[in-house]
Amino acid sequence: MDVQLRILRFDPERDDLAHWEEYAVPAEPSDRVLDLLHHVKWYQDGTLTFRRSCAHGVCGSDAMLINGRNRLACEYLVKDAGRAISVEPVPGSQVIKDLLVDLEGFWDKYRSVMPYLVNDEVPEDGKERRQSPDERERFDDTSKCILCGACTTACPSFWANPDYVGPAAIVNAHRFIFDSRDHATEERLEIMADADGVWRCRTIFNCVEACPRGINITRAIMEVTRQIEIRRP
Amino acid sequence: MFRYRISWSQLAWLGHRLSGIGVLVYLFMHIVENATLAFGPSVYDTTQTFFRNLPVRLGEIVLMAALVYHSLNGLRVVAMDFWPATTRWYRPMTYAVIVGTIVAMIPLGLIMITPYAPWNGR
Repeated sequence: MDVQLRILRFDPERDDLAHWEEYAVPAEPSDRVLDLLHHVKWYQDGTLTFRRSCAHGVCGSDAMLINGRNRLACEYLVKDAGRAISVEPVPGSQVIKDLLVDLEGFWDKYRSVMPYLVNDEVPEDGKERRQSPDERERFDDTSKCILCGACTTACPSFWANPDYVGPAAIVNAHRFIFDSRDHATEERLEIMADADGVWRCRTIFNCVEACPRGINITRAIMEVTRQIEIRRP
Repeated sequence: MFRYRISWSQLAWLGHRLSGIGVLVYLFMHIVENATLAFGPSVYDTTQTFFRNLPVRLGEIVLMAALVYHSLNGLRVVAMDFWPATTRWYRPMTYAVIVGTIVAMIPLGLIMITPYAPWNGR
């Protein structure tokens, strides 16, 4: 069968505005939207530009607005997407070319939450920092993040205020805030309590619905918010 | 400009904002309406008469619906703030708020429209 694939194209060297282009692409129901994009790039128009790396839902580089919702092109199947599929770059981001967006701001926010273990003490046995299964379970959900950016770019609060740190950065702050081995909880909570931090969440749940890893992002944001409230003098 | 697919939780947030703004605007009108008392009983009575008709009553029913929705949805948001684990039921909670508003508005709407209803001799 053929799928009608509409792609929002933009070439900064030729176009003033983005425009839709349509492609008829042969596909099987079990094909992924990424396979359709590959077909266009390899056999119809080699100038089509998009990110992808592992193509198996692990690296998180092919988040796109597909049929009106942020998804990973490598995980979304034709049988679920239908025979008329629209593909756009993720919303609220500066488009570099076609489906490729500038993610520098996204990474800056990610780095701002100190997404690494802070612990300068020598472990008790001198080798490893032990953790009980319950302590590990506390941040299990947020450890699944692959940093695809589908949540942050689906968030209306982020669309309205690009300075909002965003769901993805909060998820990664949560992953360390609730890690019993980490010693920088107070510093991270201070970053999260900023005017552009967790308070910008309006519990709209677009992030939860967009997350390809099924992380309950709003729960993570609310848990960080509760920590700030509990610890406030 | 992009178009993101509308979900019930987005509509719930939009409804919360709109009902909040609506109730706030009504509050100012209400203050002005009551403040006419300062100009004497006749001015106050004239204002009250001006507000007692079917179109205003229909507006008051919409206001009541906005109040009920804003209260119920506010409780949903507060619940998620205080007990983050409840976020896992965000979809059924959103539906419950919408159904709850409709169910509450059936008797409330009937009670409010009765003085102006044809079956009441109007």
